[in-house]
Amino acid sequence: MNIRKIAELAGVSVATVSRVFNHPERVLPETRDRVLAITEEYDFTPNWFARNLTLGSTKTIALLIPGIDSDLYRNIISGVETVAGNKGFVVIFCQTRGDAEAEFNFLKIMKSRKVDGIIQVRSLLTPSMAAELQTFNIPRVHIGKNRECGCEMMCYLDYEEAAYRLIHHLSGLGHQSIVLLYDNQGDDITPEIEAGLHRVSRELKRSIRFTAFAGENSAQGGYLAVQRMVQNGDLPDVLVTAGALQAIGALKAARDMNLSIPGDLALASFNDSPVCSVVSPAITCLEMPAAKLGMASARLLFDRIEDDDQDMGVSQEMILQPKLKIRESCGNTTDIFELFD
Amino acid sequence: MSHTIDLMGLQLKNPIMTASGPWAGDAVGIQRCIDAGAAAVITETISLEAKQRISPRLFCDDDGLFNTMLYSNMHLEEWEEELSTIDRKDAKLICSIWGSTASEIAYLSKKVEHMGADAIEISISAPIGSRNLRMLRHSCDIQEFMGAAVKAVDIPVMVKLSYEAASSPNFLRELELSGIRAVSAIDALKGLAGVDIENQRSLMPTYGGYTGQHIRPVSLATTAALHQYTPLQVVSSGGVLDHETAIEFLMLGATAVQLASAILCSGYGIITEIVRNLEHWLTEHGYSSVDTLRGTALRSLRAFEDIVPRSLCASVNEKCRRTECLICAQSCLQDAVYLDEAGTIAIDPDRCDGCGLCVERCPHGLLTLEWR
Ligand SMILES: Cc1cc2nc3c(=O)[nH]c(=O)nc-3n(C[C@H](O)[C@H](O)[C@H](O)COP(=O)(O)O)c2cc1C
Ligand code: SF4
Ligand code: SF4
Repeated sequence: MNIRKIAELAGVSVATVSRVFNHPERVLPETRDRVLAITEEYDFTPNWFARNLTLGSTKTIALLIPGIDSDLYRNIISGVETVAGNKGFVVIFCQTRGDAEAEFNFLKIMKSRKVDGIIQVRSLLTPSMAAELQTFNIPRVHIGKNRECGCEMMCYLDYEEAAYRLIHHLSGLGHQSIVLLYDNQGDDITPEIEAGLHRVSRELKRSIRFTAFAGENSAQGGYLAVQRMVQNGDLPDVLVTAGALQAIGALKAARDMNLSIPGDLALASFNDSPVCSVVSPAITCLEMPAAKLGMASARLLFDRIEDDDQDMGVSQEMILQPKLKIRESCGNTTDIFELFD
Repeated sequence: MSHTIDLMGLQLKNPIMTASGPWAGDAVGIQRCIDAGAAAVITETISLEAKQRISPRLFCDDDGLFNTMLYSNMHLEEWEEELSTIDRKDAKLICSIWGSTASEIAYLSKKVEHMGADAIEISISAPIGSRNLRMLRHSCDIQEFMGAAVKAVDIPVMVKLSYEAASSPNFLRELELSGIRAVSAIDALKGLAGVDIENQRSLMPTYGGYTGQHIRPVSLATTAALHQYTPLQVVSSGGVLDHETAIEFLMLGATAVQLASAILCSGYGIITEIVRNLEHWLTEHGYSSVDTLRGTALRSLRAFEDIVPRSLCASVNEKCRRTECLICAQSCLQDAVYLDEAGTIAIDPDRCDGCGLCVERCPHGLLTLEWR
């Protein structure tokens, strides 16, 4: 029995049934009585009603996140907090620092604190740890693609499509060699970038040289990367950095070494930051919908916390799409570089 | 007499709906649309994120309207709360949604179904902000995206099309295969209000959606063309201003029409007025139902190639000496219009090639085209 069937039986809309439980004063008494009679007959309690009565709910959820030092993480936190706030929940925040052991311990502590649900960002849990959590019985959502961490719900960004769009654009500008500077602390996004790159090569029937190396996700990291490429005498057409700060560092290195961007070296970043549009040349980048990612994952979590049997029936996986923001650093010369289309 | 229609299996009490937009941006707005007599109300577009609003965001040019608003500024949780307070009476509630991936669209579809939507309208091509070009460029993706929504819910799904999307037969075929039940068209056109040429500045800071009476011709043609391209039901949007324009769309095959700019410019009362006037008109003209009127003007349309050239020539039906006017003379590329010795307008039949422009433009209707 679900709310739709109740509505059908009572000959009213789903919203009316909903109103009978939430705002009975707004429903005509005879309609209300009819709906209540049917819900009683079928022994039906709507979940949003039950959720307020759930015994033992602490109205808290936990957010396990590697750090707070990037725009991406900050925006995820903000997104999660927004939805939790809308629901009247408090978020307990645990910084895992990219350590599987720490993450595992936090999970056990959160269980003892009786949180209603948990969101794990970029989980590093191993299958054996996940197995130990089998009996946990707390809804968990994973922001990331680790399928071994035992979360039944997942939410992540489509990096491959993002890479495809960025490289398609770069390639269209005539660039033929790309170096990726990825984050030595974060995920290695090289496989996704390579997949996107292959799609572009296939489609445009053009070969693109690609190499990747790791660096610190900071301005310093970007600075050193450019210095290294210049001193090794192997400047590519484009440098793509994983983080916006790395791109800023690359910009500074170029200035110090009298390189013109984008003339001698084109530049793009795999993540956006407000500074990217402020510096000159403004940096072309991908905007990751991180706040939306936080909101989406929190919503999956609350759907589960609030109703086990409302049967949302949708896939428990949500994929979000980054957006390409074409500015100047990639070598784009059209006048309208701040309109993203 | 009843003027009910069937849209995607839903019974609508009349063919007048309100389009997605800020007039249906919360419970109060939606309630006002319902109370004014709309048969179905489409919510402002709901997405996973609440969109920020810029100010100013509405621009005007004569009676043309430009907006730079992208979807709703309310969170999904707030929508849930708002929708639960509406008294729908006998109106249908359709939730407009937008998502960038198949899983996102499926999720939102399921959510709004739970919130009590009678149907879903998926927005795929607003002219403002970044669009999902992948969806529009790759016909194969559209089937996956829309199919995800159709599979996720038990309520009917329709898709709102831009002029561009509605002009592609391939795209429409893919849409049809995805299992959606209707299309609405057209969404706002991409527009700029003008340029301040003294200061070399665009009058608007970014592209806007151009709507209102001036887009009606584009929308009328799209309604007719959609009939050619797809068996899906068509709901017309774009320049529906009053009952007569609504009838135009119905006669070109629209199942129902949507009001948008009309509400912004004349208030919610315009809904009541259009519904009432439409009913009068139908009764007065002896139509027993909306269905008997639907598509009746399509018969009068034919392919350009099938129009047999007639040998016509302009002729003056009444002496005209309005030398201050001379619009007819200015309109003639053939130099066929002249003032004769008596100082009256005359046409040289040897020069006239029957283009008809002078006839269309004469403010006093003094000219006609006649068989040679
Ligand atoms: C201010 C404004 C906001 C709009 N917001 C939306 C929206 O959120 N979602 C949508 O699908 N269409 C939106 N539209 C487009 C309208 O629904 C409608 O398709 C368009 O205005 C054309 O109809 P009209 O010429 O009667 O105005 C908006 C239009 C205006 C003027
Ligand atoms: S119908 Fe055309 S060509 Fe003939 S007189 Fe008028 S404007 Fe000239
Ligand atoms: S346009 Fe009509 S009114 Fe004007 S000069 Fe010609 S015939 Fe006379």
